[in-house]
Amino acid sequence: MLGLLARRGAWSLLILFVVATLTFFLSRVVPADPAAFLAGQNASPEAVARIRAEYGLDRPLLSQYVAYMGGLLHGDFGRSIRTNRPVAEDLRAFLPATLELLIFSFVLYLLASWFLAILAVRWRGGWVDGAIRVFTMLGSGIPVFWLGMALQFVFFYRLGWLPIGGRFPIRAIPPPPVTGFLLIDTLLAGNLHAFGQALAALLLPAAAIVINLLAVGTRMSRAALITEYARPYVRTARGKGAGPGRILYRHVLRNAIAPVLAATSIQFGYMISWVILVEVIFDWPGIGLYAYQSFEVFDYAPVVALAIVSTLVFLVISLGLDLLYPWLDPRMREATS
Amino acid sequence: MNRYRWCIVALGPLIGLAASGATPLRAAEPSTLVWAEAAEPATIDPAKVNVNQELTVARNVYDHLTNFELEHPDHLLPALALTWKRDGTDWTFTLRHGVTFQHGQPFTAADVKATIDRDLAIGQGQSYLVSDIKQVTVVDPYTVRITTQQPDVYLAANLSRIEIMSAADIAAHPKDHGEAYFTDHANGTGPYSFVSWTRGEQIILQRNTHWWGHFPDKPFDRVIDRFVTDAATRARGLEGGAYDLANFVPRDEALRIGHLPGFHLVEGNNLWAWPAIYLNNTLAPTSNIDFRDALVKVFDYDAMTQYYQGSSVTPRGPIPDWVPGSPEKDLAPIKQDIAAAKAALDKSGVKNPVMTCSVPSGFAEFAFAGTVLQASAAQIGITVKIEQLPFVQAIDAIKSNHSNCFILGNANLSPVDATKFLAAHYTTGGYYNTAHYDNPAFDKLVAQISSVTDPQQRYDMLKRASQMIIASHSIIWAARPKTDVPVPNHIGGYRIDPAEYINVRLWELYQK
Repeated sequence: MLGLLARRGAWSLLILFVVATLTFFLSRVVPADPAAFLAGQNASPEAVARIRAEYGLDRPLLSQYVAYMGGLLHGDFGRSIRTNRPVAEDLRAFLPATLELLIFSFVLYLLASWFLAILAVRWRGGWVDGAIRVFTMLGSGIPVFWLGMALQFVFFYRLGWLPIGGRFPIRAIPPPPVTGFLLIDTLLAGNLHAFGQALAALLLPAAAIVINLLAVGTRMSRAALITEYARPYVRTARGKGAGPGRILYRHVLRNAIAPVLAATSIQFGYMISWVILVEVIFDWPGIGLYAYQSFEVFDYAPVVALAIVSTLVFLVISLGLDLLYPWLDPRMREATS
Repeated sequence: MNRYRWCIVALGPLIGLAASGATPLRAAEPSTLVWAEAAEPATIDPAKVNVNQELTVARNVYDHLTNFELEHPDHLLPALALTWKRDGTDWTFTLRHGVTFQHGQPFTAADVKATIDRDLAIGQGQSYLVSDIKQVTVVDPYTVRITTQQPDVYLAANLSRIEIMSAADIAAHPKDHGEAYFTDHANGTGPYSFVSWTRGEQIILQRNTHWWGHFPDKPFDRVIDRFVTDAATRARGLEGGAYDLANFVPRDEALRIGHLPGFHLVEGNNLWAWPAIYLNNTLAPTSNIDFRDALVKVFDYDAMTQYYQGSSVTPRGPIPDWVPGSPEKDLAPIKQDIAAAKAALDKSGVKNPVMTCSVPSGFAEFAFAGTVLQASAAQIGITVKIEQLPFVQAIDAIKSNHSNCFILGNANLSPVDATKFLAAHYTTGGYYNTAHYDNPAFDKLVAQISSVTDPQQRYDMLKRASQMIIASHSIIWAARPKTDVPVPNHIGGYRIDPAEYINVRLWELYQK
């Protein structure tokens, strides 16, 4: 296990280095002058030059790269030209919101895709199976931004059930931040009503992400379940008098989950890329929104930092899922050992 | 089956909690106003604020030496200064007594000097409006003398845009002129005080009950300046009651919402031509003046009027007619004339012309103007390739001579001084001179206008400057629309500032 961790750790570092280097140079390939733009119309040439010097934009590209990578080794992601703050400080402010949305969406995705897959298999070939297939295919065919707006229209504007955006009701005061995860902070504050408010705010953005991925998740899970139900051990279990629930939860589900896990980590990658759109639509104060605003003015330091952080989150989740394999499947455990 | 029951038992309370947390459309807090802002500010430092979302805080937290009547921008009103007079290059301002900053310091002439000195030292934001200032002298605690490089008739009006900071605050943060500190700290004498800034979410302001000015009955005690990046979300949220007011609601949505029950539409003049198409004077084929003439003449101005549903006019030149001293009414109308456009194209001698146009993305009006140009030019055989790019990249494309045209919303923050706009957009070295218009005679003329005391002479000079730009065929002023803002009927007092982006004058708003 330690060997696996060491190997994955080394690969991860290499991937992060490559991502940082590529993003650094790619972001500067596009001709743009963020310093002149941010200084404003009629800013004196001296003022623009001062901004360029302050952010090191007047130095040769290679020199900027060396300085940036040197800073990275010390955990310094540079300074945002737009917010005039260290990028690390901005990330600390924005990252918890994104992580909370991603984790909530991921859990919702797993629960929903398996729930629908179980229903589809239970009534395989019937109208329930067909309806689930149509619903999930439709969901995957609708662009995330349009789906987000449609959800806002129905659940905020028409029904008035859920907030249009944000992490917490605009006029309400959130609990004091401890972890930055509102679901946890509201519980730590012992405020169940606030927990409900935070949960309600999560539902629409998470749904916009999840509905889009359900087609793939449900179909993969359904196929895995069908494969497992066809195996001899299920017949044996039935012969020994095991009920449908026991067969599903004790035998089939556990065996079916393992092969789906690898694809699940790829789905998580899609979630990360869609979170930018969803955060913009739902006014969600996470790194997606931060990235969008940084891209607009070619604020280089946050762009590179966000690529690194997104990659890191993806790598950590992939590693976590890989570590789950041996726990779920004893054969993998033996192979690993 | 037990497991299903377990699921229901586990999920039931969660669903119940989410339902209990679902927000009613409007919380019962009438004295709180939610203003949906199109973006998060990069800074609230008055010396650096430059765009709409940054000006919201600056305009409401700080005061200015002068104000002006929105309907008559050349009629100045007292603010922190009660009286002012000009004598050659010297302006003397007599200041209001008994004004205090929100953190308690008394306001004096030293604050005016420290503010202007700092603005000029930083040289960003709105400092261009007062860049002619040579020196600020404190005559006594309530008298300040401002000396300009040359006589400047517009100075008092332009000071209506300069937020006055506390000299003590500036002195307490000498490093980098306090730029890091003032990025997210504010202490003014204005009607609202800065409370907090939650990054990515909102800024909270609170009514300054010690303000020297007058609030209407039932003002808003608390204001939430909420950052809502997506235009459709702003429109939907305004319509659904999540926000009380919103800026930059897409025009068609604004008109629709404004006519719904429970809303009314406030219409007014706001900034200048929007949008304008800049034609590059230094890159073929637009480097050919006759070719540019053909483009100006072939453009379908009526299509733009239809796009704005009739609430726009076709400009005759760079300065709107409602700007004091505008020569617009004495300029010839600009109309589509395809025969004249063909003649101009023939005269240019350009064969099979192809040109590129960089259009900043995210602005429906710009995209439409680009499409109209493309379709209009095709009628006389000119191929226009449109490149939609992020603003910074689009402007860089034309400034670095990689594009023939660029589309920009014209803006001027001064209520009366057109020369600042002309300098930024048409003089050599002007940041927005994306047409690369280069005319030393024009530069000289624009530099002289503010020093001329005779209004008729200034008028003639502005007219001459406008004619020079028109004759260069460097700009297609596609349309000059009115601004329409949908306002819920429970909000009173909303007015459009003609020399501002879509603004909110919080001190004038009240609950109906």
